[in-house]
Amino acid sequence: MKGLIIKDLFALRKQGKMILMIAVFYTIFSVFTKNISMLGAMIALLCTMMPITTMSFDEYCKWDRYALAMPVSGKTIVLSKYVLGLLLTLAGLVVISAASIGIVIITGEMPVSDALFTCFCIGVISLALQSVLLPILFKFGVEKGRFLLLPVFLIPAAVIFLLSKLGFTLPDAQTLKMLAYLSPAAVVPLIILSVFISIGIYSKKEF
Amino acid sequence: MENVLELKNVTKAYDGFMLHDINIILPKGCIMGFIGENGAGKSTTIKLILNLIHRDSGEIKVFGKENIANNLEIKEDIGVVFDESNFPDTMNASDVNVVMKNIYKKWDAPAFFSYLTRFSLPLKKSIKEYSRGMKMKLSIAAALSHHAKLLILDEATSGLDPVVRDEILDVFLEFIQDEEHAVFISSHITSDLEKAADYITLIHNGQILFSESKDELLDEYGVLKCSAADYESIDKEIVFGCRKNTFGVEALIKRKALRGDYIVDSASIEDIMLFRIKGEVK
Repeated sequence: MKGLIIKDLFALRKQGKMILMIAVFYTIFSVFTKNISMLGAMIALLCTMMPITTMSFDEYCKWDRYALAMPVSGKTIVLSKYVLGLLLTLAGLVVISAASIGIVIITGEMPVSDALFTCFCIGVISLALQSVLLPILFKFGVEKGRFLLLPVFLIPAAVIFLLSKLGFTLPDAQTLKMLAYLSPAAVVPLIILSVFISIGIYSKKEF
Repeated sequence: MENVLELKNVTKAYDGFMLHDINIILPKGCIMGFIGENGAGKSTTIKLILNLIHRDSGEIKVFGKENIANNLEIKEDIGVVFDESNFPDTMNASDVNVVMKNIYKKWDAPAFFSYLTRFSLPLKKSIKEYSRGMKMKLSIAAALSHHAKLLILDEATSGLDPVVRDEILDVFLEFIQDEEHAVFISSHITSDLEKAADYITLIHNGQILFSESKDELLDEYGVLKCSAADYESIDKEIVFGCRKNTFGVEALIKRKALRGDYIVDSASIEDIMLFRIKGEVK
């Protein structure tokens, strides 16, 4: 497991530099526009995409076949992607939390507690997205799975849009906040379910 | 445990291709060359041994242990080289060391670095900038640095120049000095196997045509050169394929069974493979 994650981090080294540059750019951007949401969204998106990027590297160099020829089980390979996603999301959260606190202190855009709450929501959403995406990618591979990413992003947006069109009013801020605090209770089972589905899919694969 | 590798009646069916009743035995201390055309089933057989694909029936034992039930335990003692480097190409050799150290219990970093030196592989250059030969050497160094007892190579020498291939064969011959070790190498470059292999197994259309000791094979078979008329008078029981041209007939025959005064050249592994696969007996 450790070896696999180290390998992914090595493979992502080049991306790391790019992320750093993007982070610096959006930090400056958000100070000037007095809006931290862009920075948060970008970092969250990048962290969500990282495990997927490593999977496309793996596909390209046929890593899985090689790893399975070593003392590594398919289960470990699947789990390693989830752990990588979790680690990167946590790392991303630490970075955006720190940056957000700094930025809102300078800009006074919102209270620090609100900024941290935003970061927390971003983290939850990122993990939920990964839980939905990873089984799809294990099933179809990154090349084909890529085309399914768009619907995964668009369908929730479309549903919300439709509901509001149909006259459902969005719940007020207080209720949304309540839901957000409760969301980890939904995300944790979602991740666990997702892991089991992915392991099931992976065990049927042939290399 | 006398046999490092045993395949008994192994079968795997695909849509349009089938691996039929594969039987292979690789004793320890030996190198087995696994030859056949592209698509004959070499890689499929290797994937079955490594449990990368599910077999339909049959039995596979590695180090005397059933390969699926003892999957991870067996893999600690196997070194594998595929036909290309499987590391993400942004990594470098020293990264490979860190990764492998965290995968194999018996990873031997000094051994790995000494192979890198021996193969003149730079530590910090990314694999992307390696030549094909360098990539294969890196994979071989990685396969040999965790005290494996069985080395499995799938087309590892194809696409390499003769100098590099020779260098790599030397490494295998060194590896096999330890009586507990064995090498299973699939290749279509038969001259390499002629140099190094103790056993030759020929697979064709998903079936094993023969699996024999190389010396016996070379001893047993010969290439007969004669006129078409002479060829007619020969018992076809001892012929395993022939090639006819305007000058006469060339046929692969069982040497010792041939009666009469004929010109018989010794057959190379390549002759045996070509005749057995392409030659007709008429």
